[in-house]
Amino acid sequence: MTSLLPVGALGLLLGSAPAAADPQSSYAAGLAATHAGDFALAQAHFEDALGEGGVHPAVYQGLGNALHRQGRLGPAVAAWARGARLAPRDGDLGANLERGRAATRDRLDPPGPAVGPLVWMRFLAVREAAALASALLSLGLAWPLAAALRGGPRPAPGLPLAIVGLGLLFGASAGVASRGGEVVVVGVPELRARSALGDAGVELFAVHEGAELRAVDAGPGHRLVELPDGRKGWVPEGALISADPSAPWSLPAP
Amino acid sequence: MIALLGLAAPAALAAQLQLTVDDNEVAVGDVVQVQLQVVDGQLRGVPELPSDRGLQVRFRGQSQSTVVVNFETTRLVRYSFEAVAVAPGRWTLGPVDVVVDGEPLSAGPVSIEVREEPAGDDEPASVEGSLSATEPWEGQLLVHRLRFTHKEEVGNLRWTPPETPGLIAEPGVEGVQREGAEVIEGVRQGFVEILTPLRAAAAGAGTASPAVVSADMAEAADPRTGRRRVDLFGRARAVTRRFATRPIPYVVRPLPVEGRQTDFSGIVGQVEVSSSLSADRAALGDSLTWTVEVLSTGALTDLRLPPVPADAGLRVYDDAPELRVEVLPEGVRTRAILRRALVPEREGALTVPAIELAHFDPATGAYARAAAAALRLEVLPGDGGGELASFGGPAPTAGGVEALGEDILPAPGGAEISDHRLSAAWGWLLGPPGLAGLGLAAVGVRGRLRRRGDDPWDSLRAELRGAPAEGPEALAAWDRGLRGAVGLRLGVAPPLVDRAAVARLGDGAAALWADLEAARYGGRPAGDLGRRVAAFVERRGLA
Repeated sequence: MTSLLPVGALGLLLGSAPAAADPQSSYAAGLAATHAGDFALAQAHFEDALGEGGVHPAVYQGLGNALHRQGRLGPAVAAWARGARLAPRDGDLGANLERGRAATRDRLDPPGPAVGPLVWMRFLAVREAAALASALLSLGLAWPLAAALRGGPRPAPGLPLAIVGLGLLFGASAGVASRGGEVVVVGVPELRARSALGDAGVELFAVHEGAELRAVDAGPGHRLVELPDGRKGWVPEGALISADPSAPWSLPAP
Repeated sequence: MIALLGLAAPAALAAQLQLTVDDNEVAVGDVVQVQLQVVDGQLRGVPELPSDRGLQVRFRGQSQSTVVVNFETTRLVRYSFEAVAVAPGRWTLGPVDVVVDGEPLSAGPVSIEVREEPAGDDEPASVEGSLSATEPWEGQLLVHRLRFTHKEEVGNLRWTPPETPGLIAEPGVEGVQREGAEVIEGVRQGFVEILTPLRAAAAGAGTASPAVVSADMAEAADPRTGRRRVDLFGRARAVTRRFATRPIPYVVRPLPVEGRQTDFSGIVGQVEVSSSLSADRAALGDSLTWTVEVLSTGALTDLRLPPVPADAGLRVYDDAPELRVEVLPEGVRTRAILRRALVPEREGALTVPAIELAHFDPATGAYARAAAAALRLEVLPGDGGGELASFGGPAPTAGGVEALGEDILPAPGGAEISDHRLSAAWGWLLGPPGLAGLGLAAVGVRGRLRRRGDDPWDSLRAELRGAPAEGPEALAAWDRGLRGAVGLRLGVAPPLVDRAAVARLGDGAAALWADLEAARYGGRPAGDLGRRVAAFVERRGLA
């Protein structure tokens, strides 16, 4: 077992590179500004926390709350949706997101995670699935390794192989979920989707602030978005906010 | 009779514009088919067809075709209109002025003589239209009725609804079509009645344009012979006839501001409300059904019951409302049945509250209230833990705590902020399984090397490599190597290997054995025996 200690130490070294600034302080400042009622300042602090590497569900929740208090429904829904992607089982975040969705004009069904038959990914964050995969793979590989180093009887190969297989499955789940179709949120009061890029084509439909759409294609300065009923149209990219928590956080002009 | 009245052809192959009508002598109520044709040209949008007040024109559609004659292609674009004669007189259609490919063109005008509607019952069919209310209030439901009566058999019946500015089709309510026959003054005639529910949506005056019915009917009898012409099969030849209703003027009145209740439900119509309970006694915790029935001549689509007061001692669960709409010539009758499951929360006499609906009554032109009285419910002792029997719904989780409002939930104060992205975790995600895998691979390699060290072939090779280059000791080492290799190959102990055993491995092995014997015991020169034995061992005893 002592042979595993260096493994953990190396993992800690690799995973805990110090950030340039302290997102914890920015988060605390954001909370303080929220309590003081200065929601624009709170938004700035939470955005600082994100920029300092604090890509954390609580930061997105605080950011969404600050934007919601400023009447910016679309960005608030986007922030909450990002937080919910990082922590799908967070009840408070989920409640805020549902409240935001209920306040949208279009009341669209939000695009579900593109996980296909991997139903457990509806309840697991990508990082959690990856951690499970890592733990299972470590166990499945370390078990026969420990037996070999100890010199004792080797375990039956079936069980370690099954554990490794389960680990690979969770790893694949995390990969599929992280590469699933991107969800975007409308960040402006009204957005008209056209049949072609720019001013070409005809206006097909209008969606409103806070509507969550699946982005299925991209063109110069535009994204092709799809409604739950299958209708598609091109919209300016600058009016959309990605719901991917790893994407850079930028907002359309209010 | 076809009238070709406008032809603008300034030059060969230039665009032309033609305006034609299928009849220019009609009676009031008749429909004239009008066609505007553009030859070798293209218009943007639908051209406007001006008309006098005795004709009502409606655009029906456009089509295009290409004709090739003598290797010359002609492109035809046809715009079809329908002109309904609504008043007697001589009326004019057109002229139509358009710009085709940058060139101004004009067609028409065309005159149409409209005579009075023929008196008497000579016409084989007639059509009439009406509105159930010509001065509706804003929000009121009304019905457009079209009745087509025919004394002869008709086929392929089609109709074009009227255009009703300010009146919209009531969403979610289907129109009604009825067919039948009746005998009037000894004459049997069939009828088709089409009822279309409408809602007065915008205040102001308007006119319902003529609705047009087209039907295939038997051709009129020849006036000279009194007989009808027949086709090859002896059937009367059919022609398509069109009949139009008269325009119907109407005025949508705005709802008065004065007298409007603060809890006005938005219903414009007469309303009756009734309320009943499935039982007037229930045990504590049992559920019972409260039914509220609303009858109205107005729209009840968005009807919702008011909430029950928090101190009523009742838990309330709403069921989906049931809506039935009946479209009649005189108007719409709507019935909404709203059911609520009630669960008493305390014993004793409880009151199910009265229901009041503030509405606007078009009959009186004033706001009114329709009410159903409160109901009394006797609650007997029970276990208090009853389940809903009638229908489900989310039970309140906070008991009798009154909800005053809702808000977003705050961000957690004690959160340890770190980077939750996958990219920030690659180190500890890949490190442990990677190192475990590397360790396992290293153990495997080590075991393989260890097993390789025990290989007897390796021992033989090592012994041959360590043998002297010549002399009796070299010959002895080569002999041990050869015997060892043959023994390993045949599975016998090296001392038991003899010439016969070696011969089983082939002529090459037998020759090597013989040469080694000759060198070792016959004094012959060794030559390249060392290399040959080493090659034999390297090939693991294979020839």
